[in-house]
Amino acid sequence: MIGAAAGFLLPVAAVWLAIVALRLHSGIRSRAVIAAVAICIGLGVSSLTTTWLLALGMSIGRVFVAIDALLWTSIGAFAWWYDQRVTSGGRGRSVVMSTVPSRGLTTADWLVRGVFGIVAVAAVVSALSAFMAAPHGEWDSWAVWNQKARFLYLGDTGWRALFAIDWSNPGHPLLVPMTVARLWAYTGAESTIVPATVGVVFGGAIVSAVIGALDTRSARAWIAGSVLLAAGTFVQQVASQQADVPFACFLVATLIVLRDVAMSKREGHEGSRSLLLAGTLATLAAWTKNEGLVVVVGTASLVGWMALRDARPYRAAWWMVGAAPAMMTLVWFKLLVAPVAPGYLAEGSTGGLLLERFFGADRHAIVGALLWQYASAWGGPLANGVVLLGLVAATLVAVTRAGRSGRAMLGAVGVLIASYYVVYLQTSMEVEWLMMTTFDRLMVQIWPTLVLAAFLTQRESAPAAAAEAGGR
Amino acid sequence: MARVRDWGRSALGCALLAWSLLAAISTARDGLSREPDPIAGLEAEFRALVFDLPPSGVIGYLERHSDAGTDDAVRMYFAAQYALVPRIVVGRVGPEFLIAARGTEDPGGDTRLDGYHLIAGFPSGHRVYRRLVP
Repeated sequence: MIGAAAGFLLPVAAVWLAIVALRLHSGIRSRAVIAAVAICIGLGVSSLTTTWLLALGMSIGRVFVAIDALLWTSIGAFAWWYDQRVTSGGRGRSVVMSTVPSRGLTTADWLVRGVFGIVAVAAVVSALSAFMAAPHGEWDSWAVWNQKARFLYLGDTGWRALFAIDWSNPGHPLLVPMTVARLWAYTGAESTIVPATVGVVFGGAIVSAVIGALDTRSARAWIAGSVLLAAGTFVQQVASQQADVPFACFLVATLIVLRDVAMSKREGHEGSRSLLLAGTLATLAAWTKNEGLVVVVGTASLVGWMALRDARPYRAAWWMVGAAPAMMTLVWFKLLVAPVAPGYLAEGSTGGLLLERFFGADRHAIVGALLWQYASAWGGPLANGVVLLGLVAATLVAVTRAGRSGRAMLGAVGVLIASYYVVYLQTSMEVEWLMMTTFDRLMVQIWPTLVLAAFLTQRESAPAAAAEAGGR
Repeated sequence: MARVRDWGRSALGCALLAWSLLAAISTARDGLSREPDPIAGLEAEFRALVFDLPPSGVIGYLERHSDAGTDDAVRMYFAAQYALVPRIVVGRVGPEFLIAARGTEDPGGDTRLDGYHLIAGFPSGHRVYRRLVP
């Protein structure tokens, strides 16, 4: 397992050092968020480099591990050297974070953090017991995601055999299986602990991002973290070895970075470089699951609008530079390697049928009723219906004057829910079966963003503004 | 007014924390009493077949003679595919090697196995056949 730990840490540390050296965190306000971003991009980009090496004819073995380790060590070392050179050259560090003198923690603060700690321990126990009961994960984990990872790891140069099993969605993006196969190569065996750990690492990054975005010094951040982990369905998915928790992490991290960039601009900082991170995160969401294309289109539109509004087109350029590697890989994969429509949209999609499904009242009635039924039940023990409560809470926050940032988060959740709804309307599969097997996971994708939106008010900008004022 | 608002916020925060605590502990308690998933066992059973199969290529899989669409039958077929990667296990007769998983053969004599001969049987009830004429 030391090998797997090295496989995790090398790209994450290298990305963190690169972010600091290139001042890409100039618009981000919290180290907890930077840590989450480094985890997401470290694991995400290492899955891209693995894909490129496989495409060049390499197999995932010892030589691959040597090249991969050398690559990430070199990137980390170069970033560290560059950072030292720039810092000693007098350009200093100009980031939003910094120097609010932290007040001492009160008894209430300790109590809130203590309760969060117990909730987090309970979540770890839940994830661990889920792993002990189902070490290969849930049905789709072993039948789709881990099966693909095994083809990538064991298939040598014949890894494309994974596309031969048509029911396992050969067109699904490869971030998760590629990450698992890469870490298996570091471990030297296809241990089930590796995919489970990938889920837990992304789950931890989500908690770190949400708490960091709400300011780790505030009690509400730790309450939000507790609420996030209180939903048993979310915690079970963390241990389920599927792609929905990583997707949720990319989604929430993208939105947090975009919010921080927008806020840093309002406060007079130049945080455009962080848009590179937002572009990378959004396209890695699309490299994780097909739903990520909605995230790419949505955030691209938002960044484009921000650039036009401020007459600063270079802002969009930062986003595009960040988006390019994953986007080009995804286009290559979708057009040349696996040009297969997803199973839920594959058959019978004539124009007439699509229109009939969209405008026919019957289909809306079925999907609407099932949505209500499943949404009311989502959440796990003592948390049934929490996703609906979250929507109501986030909406109440969004309509207040202080809810400006939460409005954007809620808008993103709304767009994703609308896209799920359209797929349910248009699917050629039996819609009842599709909803039964996917709804829980889809809500896991939006749950962290929804919790963040419900807790996010303009008050979070106050510490940074105070820091700025205090620094002058 | 501000005092009332602060009190309200504190009360809401306490309520959310208490609820989070109870829900998280309930989830953990449920998790501890969870039944083991059958996949680990099935995966180990099919892994035992690898020594009698080629290291790659297409392997046939005999579908259950009746009730082929049940969850059990589908789970067993998918588990065989998962366990035997990088071999491609397909649900048809025809490839040189054929897996007849436990309970898939017709006990009254299975004509789908005509032209195949048994090369290995396992305590789990799974069998591997090979075609006589390639």
